[in-house]
Amino acid sequence: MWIYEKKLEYPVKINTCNPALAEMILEQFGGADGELAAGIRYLTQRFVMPTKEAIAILTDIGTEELAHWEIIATIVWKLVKDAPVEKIKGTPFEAHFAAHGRSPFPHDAAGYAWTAAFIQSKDDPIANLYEDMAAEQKARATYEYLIQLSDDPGVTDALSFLREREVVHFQRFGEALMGVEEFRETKKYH
Amino acid sequence: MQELDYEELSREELKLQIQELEFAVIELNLFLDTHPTNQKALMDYNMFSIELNKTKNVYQKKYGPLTNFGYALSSYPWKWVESPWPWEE
Amino acid sequence: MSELNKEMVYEDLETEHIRLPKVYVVNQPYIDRFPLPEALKKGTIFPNLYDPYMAKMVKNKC
Repeated sequence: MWIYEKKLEYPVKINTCNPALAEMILEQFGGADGELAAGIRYLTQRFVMPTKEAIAILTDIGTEELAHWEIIATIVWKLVKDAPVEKIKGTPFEAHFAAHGRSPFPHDAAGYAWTAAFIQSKDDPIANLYEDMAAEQKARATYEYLIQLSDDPGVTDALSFLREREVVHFQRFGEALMGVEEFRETKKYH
Repeated sequence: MQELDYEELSREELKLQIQELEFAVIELNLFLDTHPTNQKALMDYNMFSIELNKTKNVYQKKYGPLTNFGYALSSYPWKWVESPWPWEE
Repeated sequence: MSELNKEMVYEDLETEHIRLPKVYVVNQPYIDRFPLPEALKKGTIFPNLYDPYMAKMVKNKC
């Protein structure tokens, strides 16, 4: 079950309008290597994990990813909420505005809608955990591109936090993988 | 652990305290998930959790509940619906 | 990635019980903690997992 806390995991301090940047940030809201994909992937895969440690880490990182999804949405919203249409026209956000106005929506930076095709869950904990490690690396790399694109210090600050979280998650999934493989080995000899 | 009087802090300062403490707790939670027998991590998790709850209690008494579904109480009228929501701050 | 959280692929180890193909992730020891305000800013409480990104490292060619 999920409980919602009325507070962001990380404070987001943004006071500017930047619809063009907002459209790029949406990559981590609804993109293949974004936070929604990560959260849904981990929360879906946890059912087939053979060790309690792996179940716990997928549940908890999955939950944290949804908290990150909220941070991304907040960044996007703050960058566009006060933008007049004149500031939106001529930016990549204009196409988004045509369909959604200023409302956040889960698609990637190019407008491609979020799909479950972005994730996989097999009845194979080894395959799943390698996917998760790859996902964390892809997310880290994506944050690096976004940091390069960002000209707003408040945005860059939040992106740096989120990028480091991917590094930590990678380590955790690696440890979970070691535990699952060790479990498989010990099962073999019984 | 720094000795702070939470009652003296502003709303923003209090919120930051909560975010800092809760982040430490989350990090230790994840670490413990893959290191359940690490005693130091568990001690630190419990220590920070106690401090976190202290801070939350001060915040919630002054500014209303941070969680619902029975995790925190509310004075009248129902405070959960009140701003600021996280993206409004 | 820092040394302590690198994946290592061993190709010819002395120990024969190491199976291939396999990947090893080094277990993270709980060594130190950043002070809490610094930890939140950095995105981790663990110095041995901190891997800062310097955006300006990329050289421009045109």
